[in-house]
Amino acid sequence: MRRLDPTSLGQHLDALYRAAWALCGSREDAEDLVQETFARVLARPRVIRGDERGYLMRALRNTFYSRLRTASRRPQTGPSLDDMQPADPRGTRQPEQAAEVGEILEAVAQLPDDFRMALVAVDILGLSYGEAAKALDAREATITTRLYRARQRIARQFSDQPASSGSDTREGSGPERSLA
Amino acid sequence: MEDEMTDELKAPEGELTRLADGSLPPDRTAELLPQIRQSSELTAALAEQERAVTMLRALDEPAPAALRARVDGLTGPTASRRTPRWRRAFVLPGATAIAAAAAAVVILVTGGTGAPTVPVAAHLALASATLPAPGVNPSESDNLTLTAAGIPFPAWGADRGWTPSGARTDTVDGRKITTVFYTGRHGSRIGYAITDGAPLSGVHGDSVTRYGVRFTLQKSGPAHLISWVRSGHTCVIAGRAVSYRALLALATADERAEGVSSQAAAPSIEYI
Repeated sequence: MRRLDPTSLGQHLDALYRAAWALCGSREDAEDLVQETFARVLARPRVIRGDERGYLMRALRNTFYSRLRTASRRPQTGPSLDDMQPADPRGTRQPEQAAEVGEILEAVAQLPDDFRMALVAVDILGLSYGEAAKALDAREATITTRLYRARQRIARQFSDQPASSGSDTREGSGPERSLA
Repeated sequence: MEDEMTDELKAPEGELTRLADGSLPPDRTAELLPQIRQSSELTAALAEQERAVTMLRALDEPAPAALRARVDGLTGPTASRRTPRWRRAFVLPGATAIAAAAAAVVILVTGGTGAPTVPVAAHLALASATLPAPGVNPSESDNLTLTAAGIPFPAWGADRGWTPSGARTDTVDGRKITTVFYTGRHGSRIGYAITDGAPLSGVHGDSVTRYGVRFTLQKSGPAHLISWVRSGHTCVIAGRAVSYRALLALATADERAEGVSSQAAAPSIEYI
């Protein structure tokens, strides 16, 4: 156990931002989510066990759910013209690259919740399977399963070729053949 | 849907997941690969996993500057007020140590007596180019015309968006270090340095294994660097404001290409 060092959190910002985008499906919401997560974490001194990034993943997830609950209680209104943002306000980014990143992260955001969390933890935040299992309160084998299926869906969504027919293409299934 | 969420996969599929991202132990990887090659179904499933891993782990979208400024506002002055007094006592000595380490690197590169190390190679990979960029090898479009210690530098321009922008060669303690610099689509710059002779020391940091090769992730000031051993020589890729993930995607792409092309011959990668 050790005290969380606030000054070291900045090094996780880029990864946390991508993770937040993959959870929310929108860049603007991701910015708000990351800021709120940092604000919550830094609201008081924290003692953490294990990996800092795993701790932040857990904080991000909790903040994300908390925001969802709050939003669901709020009356829904449609966006006004003033709410609209250009696709990418930063001129230094290549539009096609920004679009590609956005498409992928938004596809992740469309995954079922458990799949998305596993994929965000391992493939976007870079946690090990063990750290992801701890951060998401799941067994390591469960994380592996969710990850397999999440990747399968993402790969198929961005595949140029239509999925072939056969037992291996049933969504969520793995290949039938066993390995020794 | 509930079953899909909670059912755990049998071992093969779980292993495919790990195989795709390099987290399966090398001995199990070596056992598994021939079996996978015998099944088109497993080969396709692995390819699918690998495609997703490559796509997701190569994402390199930095946080917007405005968000960074807001977060710095949260972690900066507020954090310093919370920093325990005992820790503040270490701040100045820590900064002095970093400055001393940086000075040590400069001394080594500019004619000190020490042997080159990974941080020295990284320092060169972050330095200025002194030679023009090598061109793409006309007979091998995956590689540039420049080689070091028999290892060709990769041509990442066409499919990965990193175009060679310059090169340099240095000799440190009698060891030649050849570096090629690449510029990315957004103006980021990285250097890829290969050192002649035996593997370098100074390898500290987390390591990940991809395709049986161990890659070590280190920081050098604000820069990230990744080092690994290929054909008995140390390779280093380093860049400022370039994520580990992006550097690792390049390093593993290069090693993977090499692993595939040399599979029939004696392995030239240091397997662990």
